[in-house]
Amino acid sequence: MKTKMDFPAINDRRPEGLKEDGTPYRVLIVDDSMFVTKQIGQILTSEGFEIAGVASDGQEAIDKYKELYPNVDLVTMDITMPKMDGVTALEKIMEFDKNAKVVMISALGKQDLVKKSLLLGAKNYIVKPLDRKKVLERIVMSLKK
Amino acid sequence: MSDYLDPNNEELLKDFFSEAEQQVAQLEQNILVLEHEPSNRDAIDEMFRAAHTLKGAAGTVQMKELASFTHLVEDVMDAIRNGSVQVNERIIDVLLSSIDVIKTMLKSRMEGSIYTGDISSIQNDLESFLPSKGRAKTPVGSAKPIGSKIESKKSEVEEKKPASQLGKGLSEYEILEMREVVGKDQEIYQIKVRFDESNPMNTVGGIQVFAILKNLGQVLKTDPDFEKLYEDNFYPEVIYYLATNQPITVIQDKLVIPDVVLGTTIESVPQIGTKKAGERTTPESIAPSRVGTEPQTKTHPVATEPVPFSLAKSSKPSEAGEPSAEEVSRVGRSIESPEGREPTKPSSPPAGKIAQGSILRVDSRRIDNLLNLVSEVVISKATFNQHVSQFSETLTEFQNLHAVYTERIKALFDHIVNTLQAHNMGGVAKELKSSLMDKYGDLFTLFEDFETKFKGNVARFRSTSQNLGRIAGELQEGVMRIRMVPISQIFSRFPRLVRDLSRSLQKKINLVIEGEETELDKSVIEDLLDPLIHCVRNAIDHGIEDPDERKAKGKPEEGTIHLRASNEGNLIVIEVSDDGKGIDVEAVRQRAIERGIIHPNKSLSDVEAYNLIFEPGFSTAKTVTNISGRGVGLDVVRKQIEKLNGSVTVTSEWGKGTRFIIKLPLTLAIIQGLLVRVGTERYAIPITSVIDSHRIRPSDIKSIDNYEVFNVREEVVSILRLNRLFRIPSNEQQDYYFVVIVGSGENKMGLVVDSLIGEEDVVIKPLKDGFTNVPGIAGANITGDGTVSLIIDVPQLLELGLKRELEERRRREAVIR
Repeated sequence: MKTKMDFPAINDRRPEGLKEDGTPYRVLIVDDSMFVTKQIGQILTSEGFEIAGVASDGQEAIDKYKELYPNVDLVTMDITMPKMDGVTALEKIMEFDKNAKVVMISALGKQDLVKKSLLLGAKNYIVKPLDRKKVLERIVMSLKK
Repeated sequence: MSDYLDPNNEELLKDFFSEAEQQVAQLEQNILVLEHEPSNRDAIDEMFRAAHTLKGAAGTVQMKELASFTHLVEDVMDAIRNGSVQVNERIIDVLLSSIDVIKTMLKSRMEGSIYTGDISSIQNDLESFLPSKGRAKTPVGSAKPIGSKIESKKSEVEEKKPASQLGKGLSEYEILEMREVVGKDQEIYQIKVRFDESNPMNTVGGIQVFAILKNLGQVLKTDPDFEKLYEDNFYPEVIYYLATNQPITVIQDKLVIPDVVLGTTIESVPQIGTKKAGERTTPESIAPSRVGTEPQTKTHPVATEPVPFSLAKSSKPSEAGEPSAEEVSRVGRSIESPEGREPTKPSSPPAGKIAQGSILRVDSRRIDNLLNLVSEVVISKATFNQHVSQFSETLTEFQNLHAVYTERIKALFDHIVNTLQAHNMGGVAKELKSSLMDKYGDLFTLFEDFETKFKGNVARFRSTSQNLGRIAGELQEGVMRIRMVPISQIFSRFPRLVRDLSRSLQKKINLVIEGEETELDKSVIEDLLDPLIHCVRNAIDHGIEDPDERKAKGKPEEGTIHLRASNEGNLIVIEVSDDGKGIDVEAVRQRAIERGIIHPNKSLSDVEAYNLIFEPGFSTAKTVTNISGRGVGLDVVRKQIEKLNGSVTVTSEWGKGTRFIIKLPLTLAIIQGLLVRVGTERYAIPITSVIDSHRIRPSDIKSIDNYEVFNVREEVVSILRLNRLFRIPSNEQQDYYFVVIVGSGENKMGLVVDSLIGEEDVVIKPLKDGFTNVPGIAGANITGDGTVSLIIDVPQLLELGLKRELEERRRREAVIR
């Protein structure tokens, strides 16, 4: 749809968001801030990723993940959220799908929670404020590994 | 920091502002909650989260002044959260005023400028709450211990270096111990990982690597200990011992983490001929494995390593510990505040432009529902297309049949002539008739099939059109629902307002909000805030008494104000009630006489007296405060509410309290209207203001005092003839008049019309500028048959109509004389 127009047409590099077979990676974005959600969405869609869904709290994230599964390749998970925080949601998602790829989105100063998440099975983390390059780099890396 | 911000990314900025507003509101709400329940965990958490999100977002859009200030606020909240600071009145005050600073900052950003006011005093206030030393996260405080740890760790590493020739820094016993838990096919590796200190979360790396390795096999041991890694300390190098059956290259690959890992060195731990290993492995197999250690013990310098290890290490002591990101940003604030603006400037002009449009947040389910309905519309359109083709098919069929029919009739006529001739020649009538019947009897049934088909078509058409009607109705409702927002959007502003007011007046007030989830049209909500604020202010200022006075009256010291919203059919009812002193009818009366609003002799019912307080220039307050008492409040409230097609009434009980009741239609765009006819014109009267309607004889109209009036259930209602008001020629010599009683509360009036047509949903179309001065008309409406009917503005009529008709009558009377 709209995203096609945003593709940089300067080279024939394959957008990062596409798999080997040319279909896009599908990402579920979980963040209670619509602003952040949108920002991640923009970064990802510009690279050809498909936003499979968004959720604004942990519980919704779990529900969405189960609903989408297996048509979801990666989850970006905010840590501080109302109702259910990202770490708990991560735990639940990992229980449901032990191969789930979850990348935590964290603000500075949440080292302990990031550590906890990584031990619980999060593939990586991204520190806010979000930086386009890092977001892509870490998400792509989590997908490839 | 972020290279993502595109100054033209207006959409994102718009979202930022809309969300920032919410965060600020949330902050404010939770601070107020905290004021009453200093230990409310949820409030603290939520407050912290809001500040935190706001800070992050502000950083992303490069609003440095906002980000750094919010950061300070967040620090204080964090201190509250971890219990190192106790909530007291002063903190609440300072936090609230910091919220105001944040609001101002946001506002100036929205206007495209940058807040330049002096915030140093509030900054100092905020900082004074922070326990300056010994805070776990304060980098200054923790710098030394960490530095020493690094030092000691370094020496540890160096100490172990020589030993590593033998057992890679492990004693034989340790290796033995590790071997015990490791499976036969697994190899033990010693993995040295060097971490990048400049990474903002540099203390996470140790655990991140741990987590990755854990997935590859079994992490036997780490140096420093796992517990130490888990603490908030940075270690430039960590050694992991991993038991795995994965090849080295895989481990190597997995450990390439940009920004986190600078380089890794992986060595395989030699299998020492231990008892258990020895038992399990044959001598032949031990030998190759031992030999194998030599080639296997290759180091893998990682290509991504930007700084030689030794160099990175040597730079560390000079920095004397880890400047955590927090310190960086705090230093950044104090230094950057003057110059820091420059780089962000380019992004501010678009911010000014965009922030004006109002953003409506809509539950996505509502949009889905709409989409669903739209798809139904599309389906029904397709069905209609089908009907069209069916109808044209039937038309062709009809034309064919008609041609056949004409042919047959023609033939019949010819035949009749023949038959007549045959008859004249002596043919038997019966035979002739039956021969006619034989030949042309099918004429009777010629159209039968066609009729059945046509009937079927019509039935189908009818059902489709009914279907479309239903969808259109649902679509209308759905679109309306999109504009519906919960009233909490404005209710949420009141806790702060009440708090500030009650403080400045030194009254104790408890605000109870109910029904904040009630939904209202967005446009109504926007215009509702001011009147509500007036009502609440009024209640605080005039209603609730001083604590002493309340005590003396035997009431609880703390006054209560209820703010309640609820649905009542097509209306929203908002109630502002207090348990204060109530309206003093006598004082109102005195005041009204003083002000010349009523005549001293007039006897006043309580209800009439209550309504007097809505008169312009009315105030019984003995002193004028900056809050209320200037007498400009309540009349504005009434005007505003009536502008919204609503009504406001007040009831009161002396000594017990006062209650304002505001009733509003759910939406302004579509109303229920009573269609009436005056002459040849049609008018719609908003059904909310219609009380009832009557059919009366001309003789029922009496004249009192130049007013035309008539009696309704022992009440005298003055009447207004619409035909005269709008100067429409119509026959006044009728047997009956129809009178529609309109009005709100005590203000009633009868409108004389020629006939009542019925109720209908009326879509209000605003009148173009040229007509906006027409008194008594609120707008126009297009009825089902395409004609335009005007919508009557009842409140305006109540005001203007009487005057008009009076003048008119005087003129007529003058002419007669």
